[in-house]
Amino acid sequence: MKLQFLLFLALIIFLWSCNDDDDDQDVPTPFSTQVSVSSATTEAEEGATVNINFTLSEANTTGTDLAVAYTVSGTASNTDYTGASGSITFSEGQNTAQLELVITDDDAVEEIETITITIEAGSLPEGLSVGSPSSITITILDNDFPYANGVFVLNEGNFGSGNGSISFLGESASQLENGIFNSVNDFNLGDIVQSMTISGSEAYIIVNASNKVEVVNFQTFESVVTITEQMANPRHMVTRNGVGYLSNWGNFDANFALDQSYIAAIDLSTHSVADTIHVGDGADNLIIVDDKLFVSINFGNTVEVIDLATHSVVASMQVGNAPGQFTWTGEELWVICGGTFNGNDGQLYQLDVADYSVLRKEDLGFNPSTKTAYDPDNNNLYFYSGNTVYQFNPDLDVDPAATPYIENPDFVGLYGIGFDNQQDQILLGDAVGFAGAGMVYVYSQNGTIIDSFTSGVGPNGFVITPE
Amino acid sequence: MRRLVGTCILNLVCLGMMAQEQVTILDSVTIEGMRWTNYATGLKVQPLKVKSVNAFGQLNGLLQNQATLYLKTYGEGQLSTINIRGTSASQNAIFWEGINVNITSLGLSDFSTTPIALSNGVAIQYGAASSLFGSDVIGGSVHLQQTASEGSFVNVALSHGSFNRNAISITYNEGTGNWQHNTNVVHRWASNDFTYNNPAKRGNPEEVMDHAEFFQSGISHVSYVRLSPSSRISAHFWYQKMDRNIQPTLTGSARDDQVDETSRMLFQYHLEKPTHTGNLKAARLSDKIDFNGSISVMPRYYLSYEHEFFHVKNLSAKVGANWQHLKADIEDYGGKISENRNDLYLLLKYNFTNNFVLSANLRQGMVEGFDPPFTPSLGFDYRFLPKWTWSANISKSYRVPTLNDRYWNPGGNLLLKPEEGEHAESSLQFSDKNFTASLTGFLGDVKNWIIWRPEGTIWTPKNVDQVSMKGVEASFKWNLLPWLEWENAYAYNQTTRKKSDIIFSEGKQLEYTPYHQFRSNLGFKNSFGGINVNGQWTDERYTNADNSNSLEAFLLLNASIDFSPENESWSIALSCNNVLDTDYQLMINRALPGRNFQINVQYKFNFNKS
Repeated sequence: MKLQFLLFLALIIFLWSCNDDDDDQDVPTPFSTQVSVSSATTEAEEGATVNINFTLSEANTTGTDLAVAYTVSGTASNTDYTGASGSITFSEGQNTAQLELVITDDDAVEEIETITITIEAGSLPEGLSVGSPSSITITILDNDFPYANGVFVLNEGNFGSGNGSISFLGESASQLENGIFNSVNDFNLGDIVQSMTISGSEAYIIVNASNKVEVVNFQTFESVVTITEQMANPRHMVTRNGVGYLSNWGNFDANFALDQSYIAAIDLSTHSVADTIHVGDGADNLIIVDDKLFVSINFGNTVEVIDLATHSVVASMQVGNAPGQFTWTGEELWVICGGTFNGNDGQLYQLDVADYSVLRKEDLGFNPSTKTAYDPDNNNLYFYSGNTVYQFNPDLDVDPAATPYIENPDFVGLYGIGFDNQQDQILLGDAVGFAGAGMVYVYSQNGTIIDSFTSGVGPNGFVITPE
Repeated sequence: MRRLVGTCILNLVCLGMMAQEQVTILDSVTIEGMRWTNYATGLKVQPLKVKSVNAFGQLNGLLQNQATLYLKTYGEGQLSTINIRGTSASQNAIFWEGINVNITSLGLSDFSTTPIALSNGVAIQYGAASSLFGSDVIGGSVHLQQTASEGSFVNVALSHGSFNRNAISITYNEGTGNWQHNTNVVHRWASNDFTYNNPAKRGNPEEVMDHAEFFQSGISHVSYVRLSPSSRISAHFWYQKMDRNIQPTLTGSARDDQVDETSRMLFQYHLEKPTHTGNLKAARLSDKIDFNGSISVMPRYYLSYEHEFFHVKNLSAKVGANWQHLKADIEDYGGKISENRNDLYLLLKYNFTNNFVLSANLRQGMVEGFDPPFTPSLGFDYRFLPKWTWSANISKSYRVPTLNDRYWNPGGNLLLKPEEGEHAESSLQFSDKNFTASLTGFLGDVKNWIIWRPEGTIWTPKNVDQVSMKGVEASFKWNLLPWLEWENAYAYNQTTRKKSDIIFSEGKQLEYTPYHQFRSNLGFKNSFGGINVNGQWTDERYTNADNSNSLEAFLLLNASIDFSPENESWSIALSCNNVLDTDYQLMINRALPGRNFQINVQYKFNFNKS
């Protein structure tokens, strides 16, 4: 009896309370709206701010702030962005709320990542339901390219072995990576990596014994195209106005002599050879000064000049034996000459770029490398002979032979030289007798050793990424 | 007859390793080419099975299938050099009738230019043996023999196989007890348009080889004439010419062509008395290489005399001298060169008992402008139980630098010293009716090892390395059933640079020297023919001196079936090479064919029974 009474009482109270609500005409009509999420952009680079818009189908008329919770998922980690607290608030009277998602601009090279923001249906305030879309995904694009800043080391490889490779030295030695072409692409770079030239976003890798130019995006090293047409022992390339000028030795005849050296003019937009210009035997290093292409005829003793407007040879200057690399100081053009075998008659020539004559000659008294590196801060040319690095400053009257610049008993056989004008460092390649991996030595401008590391086989040169 | 005792032991010792197809026809007139085995105590010798049905066969294929050595092969039908016990190509030599026929400019032999059809017997001698053979034998040697027999017959063999590989060989033989002639003619040609995957191109496409074609012709002849019961003369000729495309590297597109031409002519006078023998040889040898029209010519004259004494009981003594005059007309030498090389040697063998034979060999080479080391050796064979023999040998070895090493311009180095080695080996053999086995261990140390190094842009050879070699070779042959034979051979090689001008390479295994090699051969045979399955496993090989690069280990299987009914004069053989279609390289960046097939037929016309 007592139980029946209590149940009856409860029913009365319940009905009363219901009636109380129904009868209260002062409270607003029940709030019932949908919340959705959107963004004007679904792709963003590192460093960008992405506005994520949360929208109510009706403005908030509850008289209080409405907090909507959301979850963040996706492949990005929580260090890849800031600004997502997990909750967004609609103020009274508002039907939109904005979340400013800031994508972190880190220096790490990363894959494409995603951030997905999903409204948490389970914890919505009363009267709110999930509308459409209920989630949004933002794709983060990395702005850090693996090979954007640093030094490419060209390792020519053992002749015939097809093991030419490129190493990349980032801003610190810990960022050394060997064999970058083969690891990015699914095929081998080839036989004798002779040189590399960067123009725009592309790097042109001259692979001598494979008779090809491998074109890659220099920042990612992804292969773009392989140029094989009209390639015969390609050597070096310079570019100007969308045209690449590539020296080719031509094919050797039966007696290992050359008679068909030429410059191939390559249209860099179509990657096809547009013209060929016949030059002296063993055309090797190139430089463009004032719309003129200077060509060192390495198997002889001349520098030929080609007018790039007409693609014709307009002059030939006699220099020392076996001319090699050019240096343009901004005012002066120099070319190094290796001399005759064991003749100790190497020379440096300064050439007049206006009337194509020899302005000055420096006898070195030894046979130098035909490779040089230029340090613009000190106006120094660096080159080596044997395992000694020498310097030459055109403004100073100092005999290079009398003042060896760098010597190191660890050197086995120097094979390449370069200057990093961003880090102000001298770079030396040691082929270590081609017995295996080579060595790269990093020296300061003033000739003190900073670092050394193991590269690929036969490091023969360096290419600095453009600033 | 006294000499035969030692020889018998030696045969037991040396020839038991792998079955040989007995060259039954020979009487004593025709064994000149292997005469040295008498004094080769403690050395391991392996005769190879030469199948006359395979007209296409070339020396490198024969060696690779049957011997635990490594062939550095640059492609199908291409340069193929030999590495026995972890040595360089020029530390091994081919001997033809006892004369070193390595090409003098390169100091090596190209094993793909030697058609087997021109020879009647091939044997490998493992290990250093400069005291017997002079320069170049630091790793071992391969011996070619030409023989003739009594009887009159013509043998014709034809081969046709994948990649349009064809050959025809004809052997003509005629002989009585007093004179014998044998002539072999061969012509081989192949398109070698095999397919391979190119790892050096985008997407690793399958490509067809379009520059490995070759044509080869050769002729060899030998005549023996008995002048008296104790003396005879013989004349030997050998000519081969191979015109081939040089197979480009996987990453290259070179279109080189080469013609190799070899001619050899040898006259011998041989005296055989109970108390002494004498052997006089006079030969002219010439190699010519035409590379893209650039011609190298390397003629040589050879004269030798050996005298052997049996005056003292149980003692054989052979004293000999040879003189070689080398010439070379090679454009890159900047002029013609010539030089003389002489050898003086004394070989002694003493039979303490029928079961214990000791030999001591001494040799001094003399080369213009050089001081080759004195190279002695000491060895024994001891049959301590009826079926067991223990052998050992210690020796010194050397190699004179090649003509290229010295005269190449620029870079040639006239100040080079000869390479010099010290070696020891010992083996144990067991020989029973149906089971033979052998176990060999060896040690060696070679100094003044010559390597070409860059000096600036010029490469020059230098005496820079010291190499230590050690290893084990084991083999057995088991006739499980009268119709079933199982042969196995295993080799372990640890050949490392002890000292080098490049410290990165010190302590490292030599290039192209597999640690482990294994060969196995299973043969079924009955009166109608046989089935043969050959397997070879070769370990990883480093391609760089610092061991930073290597080629993967590989397994090759070859199988053949032949119909050669007894008492019939014909036979047919079908073979499948590289049954597993293994993708492998013997030299880095050089393609080799996958699975391929060959059919061989042979017919022998017997004009009379002798």
